Amino acid sequence: MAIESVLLMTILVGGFMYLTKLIRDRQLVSNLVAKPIQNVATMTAYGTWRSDGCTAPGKSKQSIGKCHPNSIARSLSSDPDPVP
Amino acid sequence: MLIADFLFAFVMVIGIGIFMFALTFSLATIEVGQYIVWSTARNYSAARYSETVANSEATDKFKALAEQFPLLTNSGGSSSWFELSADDLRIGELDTSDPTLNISSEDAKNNYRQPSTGASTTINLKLFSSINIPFLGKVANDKSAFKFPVRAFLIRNVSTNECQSFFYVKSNRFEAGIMKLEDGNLAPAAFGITTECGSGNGCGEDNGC
Repeated sequence: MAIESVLLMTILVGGFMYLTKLIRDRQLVSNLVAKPIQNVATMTAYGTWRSDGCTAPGKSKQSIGKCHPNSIARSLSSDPDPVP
Repeated sequence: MLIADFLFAFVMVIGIGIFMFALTFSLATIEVGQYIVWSTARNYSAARYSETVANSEATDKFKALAEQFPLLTNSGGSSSWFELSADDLRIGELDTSDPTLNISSEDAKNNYRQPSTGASTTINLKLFSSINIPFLGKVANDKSAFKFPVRAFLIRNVSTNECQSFFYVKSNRFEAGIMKLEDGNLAPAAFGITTECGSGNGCGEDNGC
């Protein structure tokens, strides 16, 4: 009975160590966090979840620096295109 | 057997607990940072004597709020968890002063219609980026990804001297417009402007502001 317990414990601990090493080697935690942090950074910096700019219906595409809702909502015009 | 179970459970609970604490604390700190930057932009937006005064007042507002949250802003160098940088603080026209705003030259043409006026700084999630979860590894390979801008935009109101200049200097609103109106006269004698409209003939009230 004791031998079986030791054997089982060895297998479980070994499996646990193997899995955690795999997670460390493949950097799963940092890869898991990287994209969400990038999205949060884009939101705080540019006020949008998108990282490729924004487009109003029927208008030309705007660079990401022009997408912040603070800027758009409080602008002199909601039309992003310059006056010809 | 129990030891193995306990080891696994202990590591998972502590590891995930540390991770969740750092994540939620970081997100809450970002919200506080956004409030501080927004409040700075709001202060800059208010009508002051001049743009210079508005900029100075907004900077003071940022510093005052940062001092209220030293753990979150690293004000006074007292926090190794977060930093809301006073050195990176930019107030005013961010399209010219903030190189990371990423406005294309084409989009810059409409700055007069959609001005990039406001406040900007950077927040650094030092706590989150430096975590090394036991057995599971580091949270951040690239710590620079955990330092990013926080921006708030608000158009600045007209300052006192801009308003006076706009109103009283020749070839402007008063000379070109109001003085020609039948009831237009508000120029005080101190500005040396005489008009066709005297004080006794029903001059209207319009200070141009």
